[in-house]
Amino acid sequence: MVRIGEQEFVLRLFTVDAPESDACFPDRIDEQSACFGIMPAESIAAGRKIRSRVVRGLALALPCRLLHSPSVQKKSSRRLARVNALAEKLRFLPHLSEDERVLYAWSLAATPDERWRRHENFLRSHGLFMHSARKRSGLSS
Amino acid sequence: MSAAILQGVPATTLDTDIWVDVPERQYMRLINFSLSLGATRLRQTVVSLTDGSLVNFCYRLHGTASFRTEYARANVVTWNGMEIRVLPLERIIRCKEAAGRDKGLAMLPLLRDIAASRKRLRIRR
Repeated sequence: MVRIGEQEFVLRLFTVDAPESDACFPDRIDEQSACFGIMPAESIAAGRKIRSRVVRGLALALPCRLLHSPSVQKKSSRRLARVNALAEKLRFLPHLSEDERVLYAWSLAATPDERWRRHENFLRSHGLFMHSARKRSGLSS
Repeated sequence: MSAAILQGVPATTLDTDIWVDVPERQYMRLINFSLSLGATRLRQTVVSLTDGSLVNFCYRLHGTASFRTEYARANVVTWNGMEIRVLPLERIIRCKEAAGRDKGLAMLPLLRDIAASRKRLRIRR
């Protein structure tokens, strides 16, 4: 929300945090459709595509420096293409959700070192990497 | 699970199991070796390394053949610049099925999915 003088404006970041990918909030879909001049069904379809893109982007944890480093951006683009290709091929596992397919594809596209780093980072992010921390959490004797 | 993680299973584990071809009665050899590297002994088969990670020495694994047989058909993975041998996912699945522990059984669907994906997509690393 932004206030300018006496007026307040509500800013919605379409395609960033508000891609309506289903019909749960018809008023929001109408709002987006009116904004872009498209039909509600097109708005939902676009929302689904955007959601998928955001999920893949988050799975890759794309860093901000991508905007400034062409070499990193090129490498990351290749990785993204490989992850996308793998995610498509993983459709042979019908029980997987979109998020799970991207997660599996990301993991399969990585090198063993990258997989291990991700595992360690996961433990660190939960404060469970050190034995003493796990002991405090009751996860180790 | 460490071997599974290195082969692409998006999971995590709190310790690393290392299968050693040493009689269990000689466990002190491994403990002494670990202590010489600065590790701390926590239990008879578990040590905490200097970086805080846990290593669990295993002397036998459920559902597997002999150490020599499994070593010969293990997958070679390059990790931190070293070539290490890890049990293939199919053997890990067999091992967890045979052990029958709840936490192992809970991982089976994930392990089977990744094993099938690696096989179908011919992923070798």
